[in-house]
Amino acid sequence: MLTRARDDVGRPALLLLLLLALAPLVVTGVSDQGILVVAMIYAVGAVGLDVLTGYSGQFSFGQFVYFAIGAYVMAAVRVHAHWPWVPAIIAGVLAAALVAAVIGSLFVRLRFFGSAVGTFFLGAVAVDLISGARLSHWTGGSNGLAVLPVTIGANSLSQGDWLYYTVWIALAISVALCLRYTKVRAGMAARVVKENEVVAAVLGVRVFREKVRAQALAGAVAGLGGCMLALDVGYLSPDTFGISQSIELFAIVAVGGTGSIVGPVLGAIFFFSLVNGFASTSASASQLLFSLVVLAVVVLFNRGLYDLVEQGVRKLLALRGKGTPAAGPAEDGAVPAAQAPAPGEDCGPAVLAEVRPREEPAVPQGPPLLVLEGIGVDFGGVRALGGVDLSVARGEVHAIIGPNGAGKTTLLNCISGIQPATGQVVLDGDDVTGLPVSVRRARGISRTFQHPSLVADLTARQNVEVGAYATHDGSALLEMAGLPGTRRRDRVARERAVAALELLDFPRSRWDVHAGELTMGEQKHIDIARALANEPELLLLDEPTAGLGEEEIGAVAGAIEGVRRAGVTVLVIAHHVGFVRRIADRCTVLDFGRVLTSGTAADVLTDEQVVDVFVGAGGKS
Amino acid sequence: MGLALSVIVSGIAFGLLIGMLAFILVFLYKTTGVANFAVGNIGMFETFIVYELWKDGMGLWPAAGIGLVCSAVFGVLVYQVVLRPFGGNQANTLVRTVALFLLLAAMADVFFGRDQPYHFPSLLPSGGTKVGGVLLRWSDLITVGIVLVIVTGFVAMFRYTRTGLQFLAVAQRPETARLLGVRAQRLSTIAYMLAGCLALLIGLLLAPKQLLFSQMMNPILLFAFAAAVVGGFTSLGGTFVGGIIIGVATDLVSTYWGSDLTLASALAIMLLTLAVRPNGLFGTAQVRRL
Repeated sequence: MLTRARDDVGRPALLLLLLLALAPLVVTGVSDQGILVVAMIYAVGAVGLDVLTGYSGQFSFGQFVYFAIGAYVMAAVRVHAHWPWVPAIIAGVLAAALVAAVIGSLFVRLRFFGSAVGTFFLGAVAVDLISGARLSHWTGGSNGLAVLPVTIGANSLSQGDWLYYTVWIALAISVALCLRYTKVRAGMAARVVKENEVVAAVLGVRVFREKVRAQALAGAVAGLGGCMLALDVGYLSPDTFGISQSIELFAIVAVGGTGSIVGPVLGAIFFFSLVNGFASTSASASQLLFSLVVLAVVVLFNRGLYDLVEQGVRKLLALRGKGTPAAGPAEDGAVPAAQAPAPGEDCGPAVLAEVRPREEPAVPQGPPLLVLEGIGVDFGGVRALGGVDLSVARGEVHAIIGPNGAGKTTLLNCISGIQPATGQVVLDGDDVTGLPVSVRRARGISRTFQHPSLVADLTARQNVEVGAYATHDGSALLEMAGLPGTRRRDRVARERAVAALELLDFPRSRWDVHAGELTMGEQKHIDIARALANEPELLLLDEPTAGLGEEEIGAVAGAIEGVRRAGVTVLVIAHHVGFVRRIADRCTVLDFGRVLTSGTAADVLTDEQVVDVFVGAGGKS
Repeated sequence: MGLALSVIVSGIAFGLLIGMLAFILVFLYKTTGVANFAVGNIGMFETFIVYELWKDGMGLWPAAGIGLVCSAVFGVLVYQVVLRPFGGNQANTLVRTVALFLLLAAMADVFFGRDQPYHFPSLLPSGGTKVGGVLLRWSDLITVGIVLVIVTGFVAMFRYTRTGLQFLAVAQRPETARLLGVRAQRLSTIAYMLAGCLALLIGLLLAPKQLLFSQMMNPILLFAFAAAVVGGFTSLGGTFVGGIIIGVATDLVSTYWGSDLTLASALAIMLLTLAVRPNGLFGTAQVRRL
């Protein structure tokens, strides 16, 4: 579950849609075609649910609510307001999207557990409301609602080939929309949200908004699925949209494989072939078989059918062995970890400086870039920070050292805006205290994390690109339309990402490797590049050397020197004394949430008090 | 007024059942880290076993006794066969419970469900007494008593037994507890064993009131989720308070406004709680490290 999300499924999707388009040539039986129609209708919604689960990391056990909204709105505006069928379908889809956005914005505030339960609940409530007396004027209550026939010329869209291809078109639209979503900025940002919401917020991603967007998209295509269901069944009754259907839809996505768009379509076809294959014996026996399959899939190989097919195709291609690599950066896992960039003078050209020229500061001087005054944080009685004063000069590399629990990371959290604190944070003369994370990022504060939360299934370069957007505002619809403005914005982000990677001298052969396959040292580099890609004034680095070997530490040091030459001010937490000595202009020692001493690195590191605090660490240099 | 009070009393009794299911949910959440969707259907399935035994001519009490033993075994099987193998992440475990939810409903339909719903004999005496114009049913009073006994048992277990203390430790700090040598899998097995038994108890108390069929637990499962959220999903005791709130409120709503709003009102209470107190009435915020 929640396995790798893919953004390279365009061709498999096209192939599957083509096969489905040709299927009526082979599958000629009326009832067999009927099975495929129902499978495709479920698939229309399942693809959207995959966007929600596989790409944005949210759950929904109530997706049939949106099927119901699409179906009922479409049928009701035709019966009661006499709308033609095209606007009626559009109304159904929009209504589903709107309700999904509203309900989604309520539920995304709930944590992991909450949204699963909330949507499940909603599914049950919706059935009650549809069948109840309160809405019966529109929905027909438990009696149901007849769907007026839809015709083009003399052909009814509710039967035969016309039905088949109408539903096929709906599925193609749904797949195309969802595929497009996975390719644009919104889709990438959603995957960062899925990985880690705090990190996403620090990268400027509007976490809340991206989650609601995914909800709305999933709701919209579910609404479209609902309209198709209405065409197919011809008569709406509340039982068609129960929680069992919602749960089945989720199971279909899980069996097909999340994060693959194509998988859920396979899952739907599989489910309905299975269920109907046994329909002659007993409906509940086929349900039993399906739930056994679902359980077996999630317990034994939770990556789903798509993964199975993908692996099979790869093996086949490998057997053919015509030297064509079986595609996909995933295969590059076999490549031995490339050497980290050599520490030293040959750091790449300072492309950043080209983009935004700045004088290279020889010695840190001038007015300070960052001033902290009396920063204090309490964690329920524990004083994490007790009035920290700190000043960081423009262009310097300033190290913060101190034992575990001294409050170093908390201090960075206060500066980047994740952690509310007392006291003042002044950036470049402006008081930024109390401003939200996104605003501070726009003002030029970027940061990395102790554990680089990269999106494992995005490439190194894509991870940096997500960080390279000056702002993550804007309309996802426009992005998906691919207007010139969006393209320019994407191009700028790509260029900035390349500049950051080049500045850090990250080996090109590793740019298109999935982040999950990078070494720890490389991940730390990508984390720095991601923070740097936003062209910050001030770069906050949280233990960029933690867990690295000597050689990799040297590489990080080289990278930081490159950053400094590009004119970016660096505030870095470090444990490794040799590293601090090499890169830091000045150094501040924190102990028990207070500043012990502050001064040039050479002075501080020889200070007796400091050596006392660092017993054992002092000898490391 | 008399009607309202009677409704409230029966709401409290129903609320305690809700609270007990919510208690199981929270108890399992604390030990295995996921909201278990299958708990209700586990109880439903076990109740069907008791029903089959009774239908084959066994006395109701012996059947319930055998059912309880089966439930303990069943709980262990659920954990050891379904949830533990190739232990996935939280999301995977959550989906496993959903798959189990589907499986148990399908199994009940196939094995027992030909002529459902069934009338289920009550273990408790019928009738009741009137106190100041308010009808008190014996079954409601006994339900209250049973729940009180069970709560006392759990409090005693948490306070006085080694295993109980370990449960609390795992609930508070799973990692630390594990490092200190608490065998988490053993605890989870015990938790599922107890959950299996309690689920049967809920099924036995509920089935006489609302017939026995494969979907019988869906409404109370939803109420229990709402109760857990209202009480605070981290608080074991809060679940009963949440259960009573949900039980009384939904009983009043369905009596005075109509049963189609019962679930909606429970959802509304849940959302309202989350809006006002995101961690529920008795829950505590969870701090996350970066």
